[in-house]
Amino acid sequence: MIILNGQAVETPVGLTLAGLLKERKLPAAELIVELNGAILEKRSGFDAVELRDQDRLNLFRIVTGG
Amino acid sequence: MSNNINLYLSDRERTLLDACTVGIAGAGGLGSNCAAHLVRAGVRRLVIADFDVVMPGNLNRQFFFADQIGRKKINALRDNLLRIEPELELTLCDTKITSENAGSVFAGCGIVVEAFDHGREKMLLIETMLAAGKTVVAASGLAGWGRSGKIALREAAGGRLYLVGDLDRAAGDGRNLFPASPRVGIAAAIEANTVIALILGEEP
Repeated sequence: MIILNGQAVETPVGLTLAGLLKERKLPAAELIVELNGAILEKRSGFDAVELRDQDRLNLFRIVTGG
Repeated sequence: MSNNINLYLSDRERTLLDACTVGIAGAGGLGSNCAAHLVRAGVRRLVIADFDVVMPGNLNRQFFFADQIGRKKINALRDNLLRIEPELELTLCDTKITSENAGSVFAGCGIVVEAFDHGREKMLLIETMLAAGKTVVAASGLAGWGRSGKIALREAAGGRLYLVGDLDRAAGDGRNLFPASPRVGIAAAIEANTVIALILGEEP
């Protein structure tokens, strides 16, 4: 189980961040991703980020308008 | 001439505000209105970057006037801000901000306000400025009307990133939404309010 944007969400063991975004149809290019208080750099790639039990994940969508 | 802004500030607040230079990336709907709020709140030193000119379509939300159409936004904004407070130190950058130049343009700023229009440019600035060690106050999701209560302030990166908006209502994404004065103004005011709180050590 992870805490996604403040809500408890059941996730399968071994699910990667890239997998979660794909499952929820969220475009990584539009997201600021904060995992356990730290902003993740996109360059490192989200395939390698395996989500662990109790991880606090916040996804902030950055959209056009200003 | 001492202006009326100082009537509302303690010596401590005046000192804290004078010690700070705030960066504003973009002088459009968010940036022009945020800058006006910051100046009225007592910020005197700003670095403002924008390469655009005032267009007729900007006047639905941006802090410019009909007789300023065709002028560089940074110059028109400078004039408007100086009409509020003549004693400002403004650094104007007539340049498109990129990941290559953002660090040097905002080198003297502890806090940078993201005030762009396009999502990709917002993302680029947020990532570049966080990597440069800045505190970033950004906005996302402010197009359309109503839903005032959905415009929230979110804190991330241990207080290094603040995001204003509903993170959803995008301009030009097929829902026929466009950025209009009320919601853009709310977001710009929250950006400014957050900057002031950070400078004064208040709760953002």
